[in-house]
Amino acid sequence: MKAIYKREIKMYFSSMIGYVFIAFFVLITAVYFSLQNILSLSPDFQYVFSSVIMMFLILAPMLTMRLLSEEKKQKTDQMLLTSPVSIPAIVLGKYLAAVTVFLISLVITGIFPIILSFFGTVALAQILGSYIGFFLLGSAFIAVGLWISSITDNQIVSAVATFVAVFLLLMVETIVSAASGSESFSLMFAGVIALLIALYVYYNTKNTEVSITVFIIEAAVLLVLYFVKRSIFTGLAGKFAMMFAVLTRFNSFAMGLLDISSIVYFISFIAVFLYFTIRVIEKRRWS
Amino acid sequence: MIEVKNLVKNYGKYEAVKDISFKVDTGEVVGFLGPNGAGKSTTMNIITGYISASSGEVSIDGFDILKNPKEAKKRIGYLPEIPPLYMDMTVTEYLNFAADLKGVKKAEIKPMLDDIMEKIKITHVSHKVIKNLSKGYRQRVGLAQALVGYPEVLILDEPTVGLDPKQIIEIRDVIKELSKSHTIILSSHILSEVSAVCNRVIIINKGRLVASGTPDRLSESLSQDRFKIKLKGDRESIINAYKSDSSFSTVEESETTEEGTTDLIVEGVSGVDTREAVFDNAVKNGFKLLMIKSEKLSLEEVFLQVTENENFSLDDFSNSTAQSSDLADNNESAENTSEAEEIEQVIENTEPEKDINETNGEADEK
Repeated sequence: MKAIYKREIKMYFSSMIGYVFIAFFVLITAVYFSLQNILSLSPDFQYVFSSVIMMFLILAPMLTMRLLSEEKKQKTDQMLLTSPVSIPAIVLGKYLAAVTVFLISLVITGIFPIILSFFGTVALAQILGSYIGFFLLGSAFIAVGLWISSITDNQIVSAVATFVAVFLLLMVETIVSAASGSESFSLMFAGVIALLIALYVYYNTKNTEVSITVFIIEAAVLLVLYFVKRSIFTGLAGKFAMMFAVLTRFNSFAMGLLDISSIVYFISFIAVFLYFTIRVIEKRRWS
Repeated sequence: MIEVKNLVKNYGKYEAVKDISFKVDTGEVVGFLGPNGAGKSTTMNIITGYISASSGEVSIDGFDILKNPKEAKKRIGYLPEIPPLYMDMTVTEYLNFAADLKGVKKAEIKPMLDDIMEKIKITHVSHKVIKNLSKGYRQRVGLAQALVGYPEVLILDEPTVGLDPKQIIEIRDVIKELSKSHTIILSSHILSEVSAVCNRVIIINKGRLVASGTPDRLSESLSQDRFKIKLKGDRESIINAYKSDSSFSTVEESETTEEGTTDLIVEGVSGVDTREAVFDNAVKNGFKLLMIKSEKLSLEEVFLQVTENENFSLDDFSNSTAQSSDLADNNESAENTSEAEEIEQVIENTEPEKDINETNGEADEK
C-alpha cells in the first residue's frame, strides 16, 4: 500500500495535476474569501466553504479521473495485480494519495481564517467544523470518483461520469423536494428498485427463470404491502434518496456541530464506495 | 515448482482454455507455443494471478495462487505481453517502485537494482524517462521489473515480439543467461526462439495442450526416416536405380539446384539403415554421392502439423512415434512440410547471423 501511495503522490506532483489542483482550489477559495469576507467586512469564513462546494464538480474528477482508468489502459494494472499486494491495499493507497492532495490544499486555505483573526473575532467552532465537514465531503466525492475510474478505462468518460455523479449528489435535496411524495410514486420507485435487483440477479447468474421469479416475488410483496399497509410508502422514494444527501450532512458541520452520526455517515459512505471499487477490480478478474 | 491442474477459463460462452494440466520442475525452461488466440496469454495470466480461472488449480512452489496469493506472487516475476511501464517515470524510479511493490527491504533495493540493470544492460539509460526509450529498451525495462525481488520463477509472455532481429537476439541471450538461475516459462510464436532457449516445449492450440516434450524429441518422433540426397551422374539412370532398389519405400525427385546433379528425397524401409543403402546403391551403380541430409522435421513443421490437424490430440501424437502413421497422414505432412519450409526461410531471412551480436547496444541508444 505504501508503494502505491508513494507513487501516486509523486505522480500528482511530477505531472501538473497536483499543482493545478491546489492552485485552482486555493484561487477559488481566495476569490470567495475576498468577496465574502474582505470586501463585505464579514468574519464568517464558514460561508466561503458553502460557496466553494460547487467546485467539487471539477475538483473531484481532476483528482480521480486517471487513478484506475489509466492503469487499465496502459496495462500497468497487470504489474499491480500480479505483485504481492492485495487489491484493497492498492485501492486504499490510491485513495489516500488523492485525499492527501486534497488535504494539502485545504491546509493552505487555513491562512484565510488566520488573516481574519487579526482583524476581528472569528467563530472558531464553526470554522473548524466547516473544515472537518468539508474534508469529509471532499473525501466522499473522491471515493465516488475512484469507483467510477475503476469502471472505465477512458479518462474522459471517467471525468464526465464523476462530474455527473457529484452533480446528482449535490442536487439530491433539490430533486427530492421537487419530486412528488405520493404513495403511488413511491410504489413506482420501489418497482424500479425491484427491477434493478432482478436485473442484477440476471447479470450474475445469467438465468432468465430465476431472475423473473425474483422479480415476480418482489412485485407481489410490494403490491400486497401497498394495499395492506399503504403508509409505508409515504415519502419512501424521498427517504431513500435522502440517504445520499451529503450536503445536508455537511451543513450540520458548518453550523459548528461535531455530529458523530454525520462523521459515521461520511466514513461509511466512503467505505461503501471503496468496497465497490475493490469489487469492480475483483469482478474483472473473474469474468 | 509450478503445477497447473485442469485449468479452464471461460469468457462468457467462449472457452479460452480447456482443461490444461502440466508441471514445470525447478530449473526448467519451458516454451509455450501456439498460434494467436490459442490461450497462451490467458494461461500465463492465470498462473500469475492476474485473472482467475473458471476452474482448476495453479500452485507455485506449493502455494496456491488463489488461496495464498501473497506467497505465490512473491515467487513470480511476470513480463506481460505489453510491458507494464509507467511512461512518465525514469527507469530508476520505475524499478524502485517495483521493488517497493514487491516488498524488497530498503537496504537491499539499491544493490539489487544495480545488479539487475547490469545484467539486463540498461544501466546507461537508468536516468531516462521510459517514454523516450526505444521498444527494445522498454522490453528490457519490463524484463528488469520482472527480475526485481529475485523471484525463482519467471513468466515471460512473448518477450521478443515486435523487436527487430538484433534486439531479438539480445533479449534471447539475456533469457539464456537468466535460465541458469531461474525456472522460466516463456511463450512465443517464433519457433526458432523456443528451440534455441527452451529445454521443453508445450504446444497449445485452441485452448488445449496438444503436445509436450523436448524440441528434439518432438521433431524426431514426428519425422520419418527421410533423407535428402544429391548424386552426380545420368539423371534417368539414377532415378531408375533408386526406384528399383527395395531398400527404399519411397523415392521422390526433388528440385535440382546444381547442374549435372540429381536431388532425391528417399525414405527407407524399416530395419534398414537408409544411409548405408543410399551409399551402397551409389557405389554399385558408380554414381558420385555428393550429399546426404536428414530431413528431420523442424520445430516449425512439428508445430504446423500439430496445430493444423484438427483432430490431433496427445494420443495421436504418441502413436505416431511408433512410425505407424498411414498414407493419408503422410500426404498431409508432406503438404505441411513445404509450407513450413517457406516459413522457416522467412524466419531465417529476418534473422541476421550471430556475429552482429558483437556490435550490439549502440543502435538502440539512438
